[in-house]
Amino acid sequence: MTDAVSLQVALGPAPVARVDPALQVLTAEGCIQCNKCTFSCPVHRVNVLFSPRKVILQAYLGGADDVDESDLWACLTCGECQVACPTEVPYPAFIRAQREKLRPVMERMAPCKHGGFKEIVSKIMTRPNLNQDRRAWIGDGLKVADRGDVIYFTGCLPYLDGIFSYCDSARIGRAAIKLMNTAGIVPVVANSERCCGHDALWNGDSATFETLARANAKWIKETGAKRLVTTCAECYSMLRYEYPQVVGDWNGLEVLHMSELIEELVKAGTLKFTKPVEVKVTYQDPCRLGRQSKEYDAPREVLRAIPGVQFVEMDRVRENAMCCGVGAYSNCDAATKFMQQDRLEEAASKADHMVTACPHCRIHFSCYLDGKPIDPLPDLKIVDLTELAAQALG
Amino acid sequence: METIEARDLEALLQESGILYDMGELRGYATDASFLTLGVPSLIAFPANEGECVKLVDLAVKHRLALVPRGTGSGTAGAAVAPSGAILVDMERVGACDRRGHRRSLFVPLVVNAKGEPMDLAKARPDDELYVRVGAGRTSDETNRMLSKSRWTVAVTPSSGYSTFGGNYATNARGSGTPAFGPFGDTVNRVRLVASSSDGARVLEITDREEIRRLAGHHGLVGLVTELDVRIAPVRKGDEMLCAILSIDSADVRSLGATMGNLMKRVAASCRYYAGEFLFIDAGIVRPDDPIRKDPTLGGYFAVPPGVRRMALVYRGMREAMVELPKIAAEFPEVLYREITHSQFQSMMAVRKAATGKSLHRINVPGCEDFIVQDPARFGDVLARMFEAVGTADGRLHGHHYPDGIEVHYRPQARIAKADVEEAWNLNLRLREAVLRPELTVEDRREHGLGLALFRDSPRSRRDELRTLKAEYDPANVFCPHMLEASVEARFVGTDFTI
Amino acid sequence: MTFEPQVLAFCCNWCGYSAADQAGVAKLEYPAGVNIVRLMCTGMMDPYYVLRAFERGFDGVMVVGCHIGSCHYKSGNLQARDEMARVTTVLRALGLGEGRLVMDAASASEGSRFATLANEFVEKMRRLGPSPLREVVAR
Repeated sequence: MTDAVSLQVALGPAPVARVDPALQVLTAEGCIQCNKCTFSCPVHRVNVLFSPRKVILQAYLGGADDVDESDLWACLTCGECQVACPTEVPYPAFIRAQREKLRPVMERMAPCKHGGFKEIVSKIMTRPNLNQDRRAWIGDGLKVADRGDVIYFTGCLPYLDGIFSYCDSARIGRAAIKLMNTAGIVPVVANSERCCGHDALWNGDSATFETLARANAKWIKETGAKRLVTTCAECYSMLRYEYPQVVGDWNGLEVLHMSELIEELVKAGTLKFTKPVEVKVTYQDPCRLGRQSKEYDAPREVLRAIPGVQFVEMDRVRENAMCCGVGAYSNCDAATKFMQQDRLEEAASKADHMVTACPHCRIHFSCYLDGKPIDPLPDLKIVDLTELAAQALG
Repeated sequence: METIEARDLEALLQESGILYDMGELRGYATDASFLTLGVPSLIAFPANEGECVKLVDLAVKHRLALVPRGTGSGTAGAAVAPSGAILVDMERVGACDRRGHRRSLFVPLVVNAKGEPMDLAKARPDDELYVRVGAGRTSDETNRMLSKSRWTVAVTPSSGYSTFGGNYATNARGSGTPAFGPFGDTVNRVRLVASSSDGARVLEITDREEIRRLAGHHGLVGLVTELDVRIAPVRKGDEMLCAILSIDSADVRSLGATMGNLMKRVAASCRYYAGEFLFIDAGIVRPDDPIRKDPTLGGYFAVPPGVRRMALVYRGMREAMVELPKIAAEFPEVLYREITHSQFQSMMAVRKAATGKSLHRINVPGCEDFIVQDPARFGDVLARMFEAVGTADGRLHGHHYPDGIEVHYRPQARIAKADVEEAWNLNLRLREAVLRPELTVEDRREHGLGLALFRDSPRSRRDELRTLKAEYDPANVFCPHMLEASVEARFVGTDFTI
Repeated sequence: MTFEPQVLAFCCNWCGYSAADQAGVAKLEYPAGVNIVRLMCTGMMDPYYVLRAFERGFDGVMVVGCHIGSCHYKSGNLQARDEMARVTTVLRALGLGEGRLVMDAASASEGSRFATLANEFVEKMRRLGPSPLREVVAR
């Protein structure tokens, strides 16, 4: 057992195992059935019948095939279990490998719970001859280019507002471009951009993911840009940590999350926040930026740099942060709503604004607030970090 | 036992409104021991005391067996149910909101010894305070809620995620044990759903002796639903002292003798909240563990060859520990160093590693709770232990951590059947070597023996438990299998079969 | 270049579908490339249906419901109108351009109106050309 090939299975800056058989991953790392995963699992807290430890034991007993399909999809892949696990069993990687294996025979047609939209759009984007218009949402007064040193990878932004009406996601992108323009950067926004493939990868469709990755890598490399920045935590985790495994090294291209860019520009004095933004905020660590990419500090530094902002941390933060309740759009149900109530209660007890650094966290929480909360909830607004930062420009 | 049709049982449960799961529940076939008595077919998840009462009523009426289970983090198989019994998952008890959802964020109710609610903000370090918690709550989540006020559960086991009900059932120990005793000694009040020939019987026990007597009951006496658990202050800054003492020696006997004397002196003149003691060998933390690179603590983990190193870590109020540096100075081989609270916490994390939960290994019950009668003979005990468990290259197969003058040894095994069996056999060898009347006394309120309860307990303990059972569970619905001689447990997993 | 546009027409049970039915009964011709899908109400329209239709290679999508104010379920067609307006932005961003998705109304007795709508739409698709996603993957 100890002679097994060394598996690179940790989440975070180290790459995630994609092709290892699910069970090999487990037996090499050695689950000790301590149940700590179950106790940190946000899904288990609201649905006591779901237990990550139980799933792993079933994999031990019956081989990975014995895992219940509903358990497979109930997992958010948020990684809270992996943080708690004393032997660092890479649970999200196991789930991912299982989904990959099960896809040809599973009962569910489209993993995307929002009417399958995410999945169909990224499938469409695997087509080579696509003539997208990815700039219509930008509007007037902002400058973008076809060529340049900095790429702004927009991700789903051109599409989200067509589907999620309770949330203005394009605002995040406009704020990002405004900040960059103010700092003298004219970012490349390319019509040849494709979906980053995050959902495809996490929902077990690595074929689609690889097609998208290759398509994106091609145009990115052709621009000759030196840096790529994105406002989405999911795109960030894909481009920075997953793409190199499929398309090779970026050869010097630096991949950044917008919070990292803002922090850098503010520190260098290139970006100055002159207008106070008087709000009391707390910060939601996105799973893909926080636990999986270990970037906890840049967003916090940005919040501290904005004048007028009063920043209060929640209790469960950083590696203990609680997921927004939906992972890769493939699980949204009653359990999600209870999780969201729990997290929003926590946020509302600290501040009147919750700052997110991923458009999907923002959409999911906004969806909850758009409906009727399960329990009384004080007024809470969801705002993206980039949006907030842009408000502080003169 | 009379059998009731599965369909009828399901109907009864549905009627009662208690959450349950039925079927081939392989996920609950074992706990952290990897032992199994078969695949359970029914598990109930009561949310509060009322539902526990309904369950016990059902069990008495239809002659069913109930096996309570907390987190299932026990390494002794006590939370494992034979087929035909109903596994009762107690995690939700006292931890749910009105909709039945378990909520980990809660406002802890703090009470004094009389049960009167107290304001933690106004408490003083010496106050005797308890947190009133449901049996399904864990130390981790309770400590998280208490940390704002700078208090913590006094006896928190290294499995911080075990439930309080579980801690009481196994009389767990933690770093607070040297100061406060085992878990059962820190409980001021227990609510219990016991049985009678007519059905459930709810009891509230406040007599400390009785509470102590029941501690370590292994699920034999009833479903514990609520407890008042002692809490202790965590003072920051100058008020608190954290220190690490390390002793190096080439000879185990002399190391043991030094340690024994040192601990005797410290116990006599210092009061502290937490104390941990561990042997540091090459395997105590992973080779790439960041603590090895820590500027202050890293040095402790580089043990020169041919030398045995012991570390003792203490946390307490500075004013109560003034003697500590002076005592340490009297022993030339002892190195004393004051550390910060966060360094103390890092060493606690290493202690978790020491109990095997970070080294890809499981513990099997071993020598638990042996009290060394004369601390000066501690060296003898250690020497025997090392002899029984050591290998030719001097590497140990397990981890031992004397708590004060008690000894715990848990053999560790990787998760392969042969390893686990070897570890259980090692346990027997150890007991042979160490359990000698002139050296040690076995603490009667053992914890962690679980399914081995019958085989490995002293006769007196078995009799004691039978007495308790007759008093509290005359209907014999709770874990009836535990006191039977014929309990045969098997291992589970890809290497094993159920 | 001639190509035969393939169009998917989502018709509501009470109006659009009945109109299409009537057109058939009255032997009013409309192109064979118009494939009809019956919904109880256009309010059921989901962006997924539209996107999937294009992904499958259809050149255009029609949504035919009740006239505003006459929806059998009161406001289903209003919801559909809003939803289709939003989905249009997605189609534009995807490069499918303007006009490949339309929503209109034809009541149960307006068989000839349905035929006209269908004919005009197919003609429009012919002018626009095949959908860029037309190459359907063999399954």
